[in-house]
Amino acid sequence: MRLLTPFLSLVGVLLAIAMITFAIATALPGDTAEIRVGKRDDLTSGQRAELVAAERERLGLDQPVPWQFVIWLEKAVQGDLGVQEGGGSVGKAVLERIIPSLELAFLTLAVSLPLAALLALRSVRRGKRVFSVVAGQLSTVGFVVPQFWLGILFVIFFAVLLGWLPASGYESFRELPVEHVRRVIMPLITLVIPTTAVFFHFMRQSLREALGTQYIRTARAKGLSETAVLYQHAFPNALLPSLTVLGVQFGQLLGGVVVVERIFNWPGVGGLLIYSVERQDFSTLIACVMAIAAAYVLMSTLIEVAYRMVDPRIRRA
Amino acid sequence: MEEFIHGLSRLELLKRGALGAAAIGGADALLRAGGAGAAVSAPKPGGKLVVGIGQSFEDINVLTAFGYRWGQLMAYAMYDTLVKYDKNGRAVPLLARSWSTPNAKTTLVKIRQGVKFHNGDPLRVEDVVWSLNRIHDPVKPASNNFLALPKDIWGKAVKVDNQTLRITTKKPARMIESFRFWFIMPENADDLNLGEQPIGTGPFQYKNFVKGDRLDLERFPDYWNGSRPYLNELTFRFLADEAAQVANFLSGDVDYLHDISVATLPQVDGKRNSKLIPSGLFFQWWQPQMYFGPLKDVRVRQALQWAFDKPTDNRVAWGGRAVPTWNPLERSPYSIGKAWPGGGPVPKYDPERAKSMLAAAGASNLKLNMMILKDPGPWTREAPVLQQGFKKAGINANIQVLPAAQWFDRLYTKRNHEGIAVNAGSLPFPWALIANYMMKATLLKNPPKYPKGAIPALEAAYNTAFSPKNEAQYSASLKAVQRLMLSQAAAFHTMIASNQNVAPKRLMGVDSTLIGDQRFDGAYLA
Repeated sequence: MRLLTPFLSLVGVLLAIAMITFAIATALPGDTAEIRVGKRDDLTSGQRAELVAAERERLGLDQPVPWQFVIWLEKAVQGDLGVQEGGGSVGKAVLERIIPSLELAFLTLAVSLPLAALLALRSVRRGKRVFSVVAGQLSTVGFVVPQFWLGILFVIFFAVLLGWLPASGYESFRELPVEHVRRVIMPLITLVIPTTAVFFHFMRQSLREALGTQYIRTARAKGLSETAVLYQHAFPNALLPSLTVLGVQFGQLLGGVVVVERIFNWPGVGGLLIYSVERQDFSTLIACVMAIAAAYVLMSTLIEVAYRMVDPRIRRA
Repeated sequence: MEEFIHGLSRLELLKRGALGAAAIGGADALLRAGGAGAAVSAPKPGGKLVVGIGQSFEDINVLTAFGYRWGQLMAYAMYDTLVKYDKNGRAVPLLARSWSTPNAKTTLVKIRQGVKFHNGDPLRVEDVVWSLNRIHDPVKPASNNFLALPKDIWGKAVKVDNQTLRITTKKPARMIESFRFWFIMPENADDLNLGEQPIGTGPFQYKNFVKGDRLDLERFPDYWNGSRPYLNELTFRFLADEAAQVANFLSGDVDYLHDISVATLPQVDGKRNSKLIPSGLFFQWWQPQMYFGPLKDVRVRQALQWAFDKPTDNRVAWGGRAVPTWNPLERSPYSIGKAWPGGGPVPKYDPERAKSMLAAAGASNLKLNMMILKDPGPWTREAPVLQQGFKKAGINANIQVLPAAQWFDRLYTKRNHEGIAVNAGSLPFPWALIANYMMKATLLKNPPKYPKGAIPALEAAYNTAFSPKNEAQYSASLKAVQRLMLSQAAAFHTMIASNQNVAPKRLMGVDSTLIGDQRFDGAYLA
C-alpha cells in the first residue's frame, strides 16, 4: 500500500496542475476568440465583433473561468481534450508530440546516467587526479555551452562537412527505423552532453562525500579492494542524490528543449507548447502542460518508489 | 464577352498594376524573377524537390491555416484557384475557364471541365459555389489568407448551370483581383477534416504531414493541366530557425530555400551550385499611435519623420538590399509622384531638424516606445539602428519586444500600443490592400475606444478605395490616401526589399511572380 501511495497522490497533483495551468492560460494577454477570427479585413468592426462573440461562445469563453474549468475537466476525464484550430483532436496532436519527446528524454537519460557514473567513478579513484581535473573542466564546458550553439556545431560537422547524418528532420521508427536512428543521433548528443555534465557533477560530489565517511574508512580498514569500496559501498549511497536530479532533468528534457527541437526539427511537445502559446490555443496549451506534468510526476513517483527500494531508511520511515 | 471594369479593360488594369509593382523594387532585379523561373529546355519529368520555409506549421487545413508561406506557396501545390497571375501580372485561367462581367456588380465564371479532386471526385460548379460562399461566411471564421471581399461588397455565388456560376456583389468590385486568393475545396469541406487529409484539385496531392517538421506531397496523376506537374515529389520542410535553414541547405537536406532573410542570404548565395530566384516584395513600416500619447500631435509625428536614419538602417539591417521610401505606392499607376504632398522637401535623416521641430511642438526629450515582434525579421536588426538614430535627435527610445499574440492584441485588438509599432507584409494586390496593410491598425473604421478616427479624411479615402464606383474614383481615393498618409505622418519609414529564394541551378520552370506567388506545377530538374 505504501508503494501505491505516491501513485494515488498523482491524481491530486495533476488536478492541481490543471487548475493552475487553466488559471494562468486564461490570464495571459490576448483573446483566443479575437486571434482565431483574425484581422478580417472583409468585415466592419461591428460585424467582426459579432463574429468574435460567436467564436467566444462556441469556445465557451463567455462563461466564468471556474465554470470553463469544470466543463473542460468534465470533457477531459472522458478523453475529450478539445479541438485544435485546424479541426484536429488536441489529444491526438499532443500524443503525437509527446512520444518523440519521451523518446529523446529517455534515450538521453539512458546514455547520460551510465556515462556520468563511469566518469565520476573514474575521477574519484586514487591516482586519477589528472583525469579528474580534465573531466571536471570538460563537464563544466559541457554544462555551460549553449545547446543552440552545440546543435548547430554538430550539424555543420556531421551533416555539412562530413555528410554522415541528415541535418534535421523526423522519420517514424516503425516505417523507417534506420532513418529514424540517423536522425536521432545529433539531437541526442546535443542533449547528452549537458545532461551528462550535470549528473557527473552531482555524482562526483556525492562520491567524494561518501568516500570521506566512516563506513568507507572501515571498509578500507577491512582490506577491501578500491574497486569493491567504490562500487559496493560508495556508489550505491552516492546514487541517491542523483536520482533526485534525474527527476528534474527528465522534466527539463521533456518540455524545455524547444531550441534543440527547433534546430533539428524534432517534433516534440515543446514546439507544440510554444505554438499553442503564440496562437492562444488554450486547449492545446493545457493538454501539453498536462502531458508534460503527467510524465514528470509519473517519473518523480517512480523515483520515489526507487528511493524506497534502494534506501532501507526511507522504506522504514 | 465583356472584358471591362469601370471603363478600363482588365488586361490594361492588370498590366498597369504589374508595371507599378516592377517599378517599386527596381525593375531590373524584379523582372529577372520571371526569367529565372522560365523554362529553357523541355520539361523533364521526375525527381524530388525539398523546399525549406521559415515557418513551422501545425495546421494545414486550408480553411484555417494562414501565413503568406501557406497562402502564396504551400496551398498552391494542393489547391487550385480560379485564376493565377503570370509573371507579367496578367490573370491566367486556372479553374475558371473564362469569365465575364455583364455589369459592374455581376461576374459570370465558366468552370473548367474534366478537373478532378484528389479523392477522384470531379470538380462541379457546386464545389466552387460552396467554396466562395464559405470563404465569405460571416459566421464561420475562415483563414485570412482568402482575403475575402468586405461584407458590404460581397453578395453571393450561385449556380447557373453545370458549367457556370454567377457572383453578385452589393457594390462594384474588382473581382478578378481576388480570384487568385480563393482556393477551391470540395463541397461541404467543413465535414471532411482537410487538416488531416487535404483534398484539392492542385498539382500535388497529400502524402504525409509531420507537424512542426514537414509536409510531403506527391504528383497528382490526374491533374487537369496536361503533363504537369513534372516533379514526382515535393516536400516543404519547416525551418523556422535561420541557422538551421543554412545548415540544411549546405548539407543538401534542402534543395530550395524560400524567402530567406538578407542576413542569411550571403551564407548560401552561390553555394551548392545555386541561383537566386526573386519573388515578390517584402515591405516593412512603422505605425504611430495617433490616438493618444505624444504622437497624437501631428507636429510631433512630422518631426519624427526626420529622425529615421534610413541609410544606416539599410546598410546594417537590410544588407543594402532594401529600397527606402515613404510611400509604397510611389511608382504605382496610382502614384502621386515623388513630390512631397503640400510642398517642401522629402524628409531625410536630419536629427538636428527633428530636434528643433520637436522643440517647436513642445516635445523636447521625446520618449518613444518602439514595439517590435519577437519573431525573427528585419525589425530585430532595424530597431537598435533606428534607436541610435533617434538618440541624436534627442529622442529617448526604448525597444519593446512582444510575442506575436501580444503584438497583435495591442496593435489590432486593443489598439493600445504606445509610440510606434513595426508592421510588415508582402506586396499584395489590389493596390488598395497596400493602403489597407499600412493603415488598418492605426486608421480604424470603428476603433473601440476612440469613436472618431484620428484623420477622418484619410479614413474616408481608405474606405472609398475598397469600393470605388469607377476607376477614376479608385485612382482618386488611392491618391488621397497617399497624400494624407504622408502629410499627416500616419505611417513611417517604409523599407521594401525583393524576396529572395535560393534554388538549384538545374531547377527550371518555377512560377515565381512579382506579387510573391510561387507555384511548382511547372517546375522540373533539368
